Amino acid sequence: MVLASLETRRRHGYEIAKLIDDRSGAVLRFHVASLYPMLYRMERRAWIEGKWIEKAGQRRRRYYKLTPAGRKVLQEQRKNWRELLSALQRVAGIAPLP
Amino acid sequence: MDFRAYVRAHLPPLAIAREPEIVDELAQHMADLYQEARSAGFDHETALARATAALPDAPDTFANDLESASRALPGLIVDRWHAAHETPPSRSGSWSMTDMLRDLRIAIRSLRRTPGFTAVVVLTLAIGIGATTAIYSVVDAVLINPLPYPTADRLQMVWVTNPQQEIDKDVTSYPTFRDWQSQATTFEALAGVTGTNFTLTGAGEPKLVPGERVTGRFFDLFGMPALHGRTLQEADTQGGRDRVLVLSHGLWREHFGGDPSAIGRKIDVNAQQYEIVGVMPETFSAVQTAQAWAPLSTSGPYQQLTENRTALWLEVLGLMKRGTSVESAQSEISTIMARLAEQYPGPYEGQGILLEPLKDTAVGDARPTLLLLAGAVVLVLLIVCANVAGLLVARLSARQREMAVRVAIGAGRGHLIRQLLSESALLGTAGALAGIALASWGLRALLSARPANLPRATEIHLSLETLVFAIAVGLLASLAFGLLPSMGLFRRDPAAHLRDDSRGSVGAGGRGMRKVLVVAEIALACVLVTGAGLLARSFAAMHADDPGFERERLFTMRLTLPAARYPTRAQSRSFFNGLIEKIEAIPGVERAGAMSFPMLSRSSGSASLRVEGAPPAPPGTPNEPVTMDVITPTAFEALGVPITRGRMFNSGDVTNGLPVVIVNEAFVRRFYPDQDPIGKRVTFNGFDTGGQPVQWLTIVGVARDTRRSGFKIPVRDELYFPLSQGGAGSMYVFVRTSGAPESVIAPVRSAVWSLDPQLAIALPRTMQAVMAAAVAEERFRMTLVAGFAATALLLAALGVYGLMAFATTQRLREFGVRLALGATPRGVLMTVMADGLILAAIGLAVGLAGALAAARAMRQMLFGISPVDPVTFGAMAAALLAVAALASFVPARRAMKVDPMVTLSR
Repeated sequence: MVLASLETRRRHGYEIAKLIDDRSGAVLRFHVASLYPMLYRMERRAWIEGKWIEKAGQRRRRYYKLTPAGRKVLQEQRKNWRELLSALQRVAGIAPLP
Repeated sequence: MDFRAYVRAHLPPLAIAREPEIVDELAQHMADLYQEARSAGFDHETALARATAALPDAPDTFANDLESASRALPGLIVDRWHAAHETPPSRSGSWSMTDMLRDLRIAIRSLRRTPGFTAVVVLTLAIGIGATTAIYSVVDAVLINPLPYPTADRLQMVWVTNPQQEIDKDVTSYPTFRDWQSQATTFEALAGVTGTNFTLTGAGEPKLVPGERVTGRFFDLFGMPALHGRTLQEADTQGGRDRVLVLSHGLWREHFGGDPSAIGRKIDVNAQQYEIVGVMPETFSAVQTAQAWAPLSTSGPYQQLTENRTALWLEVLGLMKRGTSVESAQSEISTIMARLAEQYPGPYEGQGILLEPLKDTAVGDARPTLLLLAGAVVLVLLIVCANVAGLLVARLSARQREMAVRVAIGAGRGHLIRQLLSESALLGTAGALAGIALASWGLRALLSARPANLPRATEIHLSLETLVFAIAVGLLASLAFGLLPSMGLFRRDPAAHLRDDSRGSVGAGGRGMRKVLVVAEIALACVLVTGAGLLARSFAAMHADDPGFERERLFTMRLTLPAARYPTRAQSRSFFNGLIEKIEAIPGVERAGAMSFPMLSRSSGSASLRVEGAPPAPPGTPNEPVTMDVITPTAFEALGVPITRGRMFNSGDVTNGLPVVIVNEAFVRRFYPDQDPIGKRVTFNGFDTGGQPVQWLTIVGVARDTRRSGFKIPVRDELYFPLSQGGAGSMYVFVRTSGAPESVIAPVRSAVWSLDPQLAIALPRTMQAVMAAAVAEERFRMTLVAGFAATALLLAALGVYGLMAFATTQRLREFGVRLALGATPRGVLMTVMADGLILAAIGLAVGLAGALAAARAMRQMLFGISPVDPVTFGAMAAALLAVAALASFVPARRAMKVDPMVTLSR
C-alpha cells in the first residue's frame, strides 16, 4: 500500500498516511508507530528513497519516492494480493464464481 | 508549532546517527496533524491532543523499531555522510546495559499485559522448582552427603556373610572380632558394638533409653572429640572401671538440661551406679540411634558371651587406613577368616566377609523411599518443563502476526529474539523465586510429616546446589522453549506469516511441537498416577488388613527389668504376674497381659524346627524365620487373639511340669496340614541339651495368625511359650480397656511404680498409634507420590486444554465452513474431542510402558497387590482419558457452537 501510494509521485510521510486513510475510506489507518519504521525499512531495502527537500516558507520535509526495485516489488505484491483476493472471493463467496 | 522538543522528550534516545532526522520527521508529522486539526476548526487544545496522540503508548518499542529499521546497511551514502559529520552515541559491545534494561522493561510490560499466562507459567515453574528442591534437599542430606564425621569416607561395617544359608549381613562373635583386631593391618582401628537398653534412674522419672555397649576404640573411629568431658577409652573396658557412660547430645539436653556439670555425676543405669564422663556433639547422632554408650567389658554380664566363638552378637565397625581400598581390606579380613576356619573347624563353616560403608548401613532403609520420591519429583519437573514449553510455544504462535509485522516493518530479528529471551528469562527468574519460597515451605512440611525412622533428619536443610540446579533447569526450559519456536518463525518469510494469518491459521510447526509436548506430559503423568495408585491401593490393603487382634481400646508399653535387681527368672516372673494382677484391678481395665516382643514389629528370631517323627535336619541346614514369644496366660485375651484349637496356658503349666507350647495357624498349615496338632511334639535342631535327652515341647493350643511382624512380611511360624515355664527380663504389657485407652495411662504408671519405683516405662502408646507408626513410611511416600501425581494430572490437563483450546480457536473458521456445508454440531464436537483423545491415547500408550517399568521397580514397596494390578492400571487409564476428554470437551463445545455467519465474515 505504501509502495502503491508512491507509484505516481514522491510524497512525505504525513501525506502517505493521509492517502491510505482516504483511499481506504478510513478503514485502514496507519499509526506513526508502524508507518515510519516501515518507511525506513523499505528505504534500507532500497525499495524507496528518502530525500530532504526544503520549500519556500516551509520547514524541510523528507520526501520518499519509489525506486526501480520498489516498483518491481510492488508489481509482485499486487499479483499476490490479486490471487489471494480472488481465492478469498471464491471461498467466501463474496463475488460470483468466474 | 514545532514538536521537536516534544518528540525528543517522549522518544527514548536512539543509538543511531540518523536520530536527528527521525526526530525532525516525526515532529513534522505531528505538526501536520496539528495544522490539519486547526484548519478543521478545532481549538488549540484539541489539535494538540490529536497531534500528540500520534506518538505510540510504548515509546520503547517504537524506538526499537525505528532504530533497527533505519540502522545503516554498510555503504549507505547518507549514513556514511552522517558518520563523517556526527559522533554517534558510544556503544560498548553490541548489547549494552541500557539495551538490556530496556529489553527487560519491555518484557515486564509485555508479561503484565497477559497476567493469566504469566501467573500460570510462574506458578507451574514454582511447583516444579519448589518440589524438586525440597525432595532433593532431603535426598542430598540423607543419601548423598558424606556422614558428618571427619573419617566418614573410611568407615566400613564389617559383616559376616553366609551364602549357603542366604545370610548376606550378619554379626559376629567377640573372639572373632578380637582376632580381626589383632591381625588386620589394613584398618587403623576396629570396634565392636552391641545394642542394649539403659534404664536411667535417679534423675527425674525412670527413663529407658536405647544405648550401646562398645569396645574401647569405638569413639576413635569417628575422629570426633566429646563436646564435654571425654569419650570412652580402651582402659574403660577393664573390669571394675567399666561403670562409665557417654551421653548423646539429645539425652544430655533432655535429661540433664544441657548442664555441662553433668560430667562427673553419678546416675543409676540398670540399677548400678555409673559415672557420666562425656557428652557427644549433636552431629555425632547423625546415624546413631543410641542415646548413651557404655564400655563393653569382658567381665560381668557379657563374660560368657565374650568367650564363645559360636555366639554371634557383635557388630563390627572399622576405620580403614588412609589409602586402603575396600577390596584389599575385605580380602584381608577374608584371609583371616579362612585361617580361623582352619584353626576352629565348625563355627566358620561357609562364612564370608562383606564390607559396607557405614553410610549405606545407616541410610539403607530410607533409600528406596527417597529414590522413589526423587524419581517422582523428576517426572513432575519434566511435566512442568513440557507445560511451560507448551505455554511459551502457544504464546509465540499467537504472537506470530505481531512478530511478523514487526519484522516486516523493520525490527531486527536479533532484536526480537533478544526480547523473547528477556521475557523467558524474566519468567524463569520469577518462577525460580516463587519456587524457592515453595521449596522452603515444602521442606518444612516434609520434615514434619516424615516417618520417625528417617535417618539424618537433623542434617536436612534447603540444599543450595539443588536450588541452583532446579533454577537452572527452569531457566533453561523457559529459554530453550521460548526460543526454539521463534527460530522457525524467523526462518520463514514474514510476508508468508501475514498471509497465513489472514486465513486464520497459524504456526503448524508450533502446534506439532505442542502435540509432542502434550503427549509427553500425559505419558509422564501416566507413570506418576499409576505409581500413586499402586501405593494407595497397597496402603489401603495394609490398612484394611486384619492384624489378627483387636486394635481398639488397647494400650501397650514396654518394661525392662534390670538384671542387677532381677537376677533370676523366678523374680521376673513374679514381677510380671504381680503387675498384671495390679493392672487388672484398675477400674476401666478389662484384661491385661504381657508378651516378650511387640506387635507389628519385625523380629529377627530364627530357628531350625523339628517335629516329632521327622528326622533331625542335617547340620548346616539354614535356620528359618520363626517368632518365639514368652507370654502370660492372659496375653491373648488382652490382645483379642482367639485360640482356635486346644487351650490357652493355665496355672497347671508350671516350671517343672510338661513343657508346653502354643503355635499359630501358619505353623499348623506347614507341619500338620491334615492332622490335629494338639498333643504333637516339637523341638529344635541343634537344641543344646548338654547331654540330656532332647527336650520335646507339647503343643497344647493353636492361636489365630497375627501380623506380629508387621504388614510387610508374610505371617511367620510362631511359637508361644508360657511365662511360667520360662522367663523374660523385658516384656510388652498389653492393657485392654473398656473406655479410651489413654485414660488408664496414669493408673497403670502408678501400678508399675508401686511395685518398682525405679522401673522405666518405655513406649507407652495406644495400639492405634502403634498401627499408625507401623504404616508411617507407607503413608509418607503414598501421600507425597499422590500429591505429585495430582499435580501431574492437573498440569497434563492444562496442557491438553491449552493445546485444544488454541487449536480450536485457530480452526474456528474451518468449523464454520464445515457447519455451513452441513456438518452437524455433534460431528464437530466429536472431531475436536477425537483430536484430544488421540493425543491422550498416544500418551497413555507411551506412559503405560513407563508405568510398567516403574511398577516393577516399586515391587518391594507394594503390599497385597501385584505390580501389574489391573484395577490400578485400568483406573489410571480411565482417569487420564477422562481428564483428557474433559480438557478437550470445553474447547470442543466452543467449536460446536460456532456460528458460520460470524466466523466467516470476521
